[in-house]
Amino acid sequence: MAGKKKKGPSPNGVDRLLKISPMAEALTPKDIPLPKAKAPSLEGLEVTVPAPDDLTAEDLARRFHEKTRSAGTSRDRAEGEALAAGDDVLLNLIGYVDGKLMPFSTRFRWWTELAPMPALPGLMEAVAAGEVGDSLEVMVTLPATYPAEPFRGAPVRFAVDVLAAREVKPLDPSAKDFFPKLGLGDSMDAVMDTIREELEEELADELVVLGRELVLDELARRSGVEVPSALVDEEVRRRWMRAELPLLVEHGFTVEEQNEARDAWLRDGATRAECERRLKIGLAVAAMIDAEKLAPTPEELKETLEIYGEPWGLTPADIEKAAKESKKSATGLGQLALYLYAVDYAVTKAKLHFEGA
Amino acid sequence: MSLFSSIRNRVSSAVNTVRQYQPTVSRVISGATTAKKVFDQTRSAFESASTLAQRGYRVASQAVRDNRALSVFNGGRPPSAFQRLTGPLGVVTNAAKTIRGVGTAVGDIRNAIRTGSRQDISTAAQSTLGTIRSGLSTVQSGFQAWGARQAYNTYRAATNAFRSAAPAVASNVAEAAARAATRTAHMAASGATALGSTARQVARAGAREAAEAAARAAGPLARAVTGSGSRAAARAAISAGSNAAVRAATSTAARATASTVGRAAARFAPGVNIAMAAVDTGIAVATLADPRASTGRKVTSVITAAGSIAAATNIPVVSQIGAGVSLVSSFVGSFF
Repeated sequence: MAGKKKKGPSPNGVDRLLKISPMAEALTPKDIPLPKAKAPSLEGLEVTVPAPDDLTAEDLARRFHEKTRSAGTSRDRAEGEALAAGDDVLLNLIGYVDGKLMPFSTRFRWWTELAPMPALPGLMEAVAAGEVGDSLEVMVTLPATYPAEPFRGAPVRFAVDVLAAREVKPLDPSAKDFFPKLGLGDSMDAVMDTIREELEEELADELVVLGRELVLDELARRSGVEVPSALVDEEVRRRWMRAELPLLVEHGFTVEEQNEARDAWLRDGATRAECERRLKIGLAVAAMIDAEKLAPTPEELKETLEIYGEPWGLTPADIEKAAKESKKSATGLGQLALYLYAVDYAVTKAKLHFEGA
Repeated sequence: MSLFSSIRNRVSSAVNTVRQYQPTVSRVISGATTAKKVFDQTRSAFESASTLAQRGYRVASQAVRDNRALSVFNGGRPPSAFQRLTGPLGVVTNAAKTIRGVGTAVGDIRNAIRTGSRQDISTAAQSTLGTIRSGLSTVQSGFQAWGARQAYNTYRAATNAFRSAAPAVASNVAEAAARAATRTAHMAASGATALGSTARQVARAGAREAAEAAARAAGPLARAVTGSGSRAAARAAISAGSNAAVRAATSTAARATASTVGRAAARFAPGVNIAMAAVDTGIAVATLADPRASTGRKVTSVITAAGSIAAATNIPVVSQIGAGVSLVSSFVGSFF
């Protein structure tokens, strides 16, 4: 700007930086025009949730294993101490395929049990041979059944840091006080029945969420809205900026590496498809709010936030405090509350069938 | 500043110092990281980081002179450059140590690992190679029919893949798990389940008998808990059926958000990122654990995650929703 004292990079340098730096992009978000959606009718809204697969005895045994570990004892391992199978380890992880960053492979401060993972053969085995504080380069060939199709059979090089570890001693099922300490029943059969109930309950919750998602799909279909690919790009970019960019910056990734990570998200078909779907749903819900003349009071919106926050441990006082922090914070919460209120309204107008019930 | 960041900064600073004296340093520094492995494995991370500034160039030069660095990072990798590790889990694998504690935080180490893949790729089948390159370089297509079902199925596949192998449980535990499956099979077959005892369920149980027999032959942990899918569906139907009012619907959805997707926040296979809900949940969990985060950030991240799971929210639309501007203004006004 004319008359301003120059400091640091030249204006041209700043312009260039703004063009290439994802962080600069994140700091200067742009509102882009949204397409208009037709308000979806709520008449005869009906969806069928497909029947889920049955649980297996392995699911029960796996949950039993998790329960005995969490009810057991643990001890922090010292820097330089050897790891052992069954430890909990805190890892940083990055994968490279064909000389490029593998999309969605960065994991920072990720706690996991040190046990073989069939999808990543050899990775955990290599880590288990290390020590707390080690950094490792591990080559893994992904199996033919890997869920990300483009990477089936791919050789992946992982950089892994072992940041911390805990030796875990699970409860011993042969110990006298095993059942009282586990607190899930007074016999192994009773414990397994409790676990089965718990898993079935969780599966039922998943089906409820899936039913809502199917209702939202139908709303989007009825609105007939189409979104341009530039809008999908913007949505993917914003998602990436929230989820991965801050971690990459924190860990010293260069601008080139940040761009590479962002581009991997932008190219991922499933990510694009999911973002496009969510944009359509959002636009349909917005149109529905107007068409249905929804007018929740501030109290009803607060109540919506309280109900959604409660299972996550948030109190009404937390929500009040967050809203009072700034008008920007209150506006963001108000927009979310209105959206959630509207979706709940639409779901109550729909008939949900659960196949197999 | 965390130890991790502190070490990274010190190493980055060391690397920059070396860069000033050696224009072609990226290759040499890659050599230095391996040289550190060869010469100095037992040294602490902090010492490694702080001494690299003084010794990095010398060590790197030494490594280049005896060809170890180039042989490791630029093709022709000798087998001895990788430790053949026989881990406590009993599997031999290829792994090498880099500088302790800072491997992911130093760009040169990351680049060394990245370029190593070019050598690996030559060993991959040509057909696989083509698939990988298209996966990394072009926008993937074939997702036209994407909807809630596809997202859900992919989510399950991704979480199931990124978990540990079946745990080695004691025989009495495996047998108890198998007995639990048998008990529920009887319940389903007699139509006496506590929830949703319908003729359809009995029919399903009958159709599963062959699968049950096969599972028995495969071992106790392979046995299906017959009827569990139907019971879960019945529970869901009861839960959804009670949603006559908006408030009840909200409670059910809210509980489901906290109990289902939230559990799997970090359990997604590398290369798979279909679950936006899990991404948002991961952010919420990290924000809640961050002592520097304000209450506003914590609450907003939690509600964003809940909305992402239960209402498929997204970032631009929520902020530009346009609808209900006056409703949101009234809400804001009630606090100020």
